[in-house]
Amino acid sequence: MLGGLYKKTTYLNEYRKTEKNLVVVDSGDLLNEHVQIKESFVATAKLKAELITKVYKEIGIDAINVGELELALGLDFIKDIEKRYDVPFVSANIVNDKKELVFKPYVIRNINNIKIGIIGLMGTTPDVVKPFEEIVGSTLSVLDPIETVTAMVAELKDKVDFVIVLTHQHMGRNWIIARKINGIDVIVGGHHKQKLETPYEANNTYIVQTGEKGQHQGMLVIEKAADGTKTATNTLVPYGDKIADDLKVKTMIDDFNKEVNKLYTTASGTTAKEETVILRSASCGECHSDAYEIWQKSDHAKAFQTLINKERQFNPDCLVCHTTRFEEANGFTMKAQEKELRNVQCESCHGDASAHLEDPGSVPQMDPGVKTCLKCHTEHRCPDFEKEYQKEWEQIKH
Amino acid sequence: MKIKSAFFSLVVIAILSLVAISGSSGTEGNKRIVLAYSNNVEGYLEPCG
Repeated sequence: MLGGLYKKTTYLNEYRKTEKNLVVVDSGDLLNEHVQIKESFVATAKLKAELITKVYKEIGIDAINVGELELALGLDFIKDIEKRYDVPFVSANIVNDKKELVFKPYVIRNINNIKIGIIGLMGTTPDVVKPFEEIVGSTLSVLDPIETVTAMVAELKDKVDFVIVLTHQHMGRNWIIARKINGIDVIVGGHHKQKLETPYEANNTYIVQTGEKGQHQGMLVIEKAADGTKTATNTLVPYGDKIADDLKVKTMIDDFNKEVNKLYTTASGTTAKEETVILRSASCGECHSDAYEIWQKSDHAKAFQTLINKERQFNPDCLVCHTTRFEEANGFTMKAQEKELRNVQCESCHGDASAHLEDPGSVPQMDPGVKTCLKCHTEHRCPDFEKEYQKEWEQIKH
Repeated sequence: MKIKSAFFSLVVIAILSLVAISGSSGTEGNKRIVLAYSNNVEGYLEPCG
């Protein structure tokens, strides 16, 4: 499995040793993944966002575009960490109810005598507007992206050598911006999760995007002649085992995991090592003994223990696929930490069995199919799962 | 001797200046940057298990 903040740190720190002209940016949805953060894990989400901010500050971040998932942590919280860690959040078109900008529209970086203007942009495509409105209600709104970028590029064009726009919208709109507005060198897309191995090119503008979950580091080497013509080479570097872990950041993440564990161990009055408990699937086993035995031998039955081994048993990002029906009706919750719902049990795939247990005539989902598996065995976690589904299924066939 | 060492210092300064200019400018006056970019990290810290 790819990814890891400690690998990003190692890679960029090493790169910077021999490259003076490095510019580091992120196009948003960096700090959080939940549109609605449940009350029971707001504290964890904020601790994590703060940790990521600290690490990016150490790496040397030049600009972070504000995505709607940043705003899900609360505008006050984002403004607070912006101030405390002096991190450069940018957004040229998120405004408050008085139509005033909430963040800096752009930053100008002077890197080794080259001036780079970096503009932040929130899109207005439905895939962005829906969660944006769900998060901020009517407290914030978004100005027209085309008008905004046109004005910003006009403002920057004589002041900088490169204009970079960090966007948060559907990929199709990046094409429109590139074609309609002259003078943009690079658009770094975000929100839309398409992975582009080769950049798109339109109107002398490169459009790049890395995919998701920090699996790859996008590296675009771009050279511009005096007449404005450009050449570029793009690489998506996978954060795999070949890149060493940065030990300082690894320790910071370990400390974060311990702090979260402390938070929930105290709150729930339980410890992660309490093992003896009758799991919910035991009820299923009373009638479906063959299936239950197969499940007991499977990795699904050990899913929670893997989190305990790595001290991540209170991390909601992990619990969603290592417990049964995380934060769903009659499922495992952060608040109660129901031990009987640890692991990936029958109901994870077959659905809530409450009605079936009351009345066996009420039949749950008998054949969940590969789509259910892919909710957790995503491409980023298990790149070949879908291709090798039959082989995988044989391991738990019942 | 003094003239020789002053000349040598000038040569060193000229070489260092050239290195600095080529670092910032790429090929023959071109401007060159390396953009390290990411998107949709979504709070991802590390693999879970």
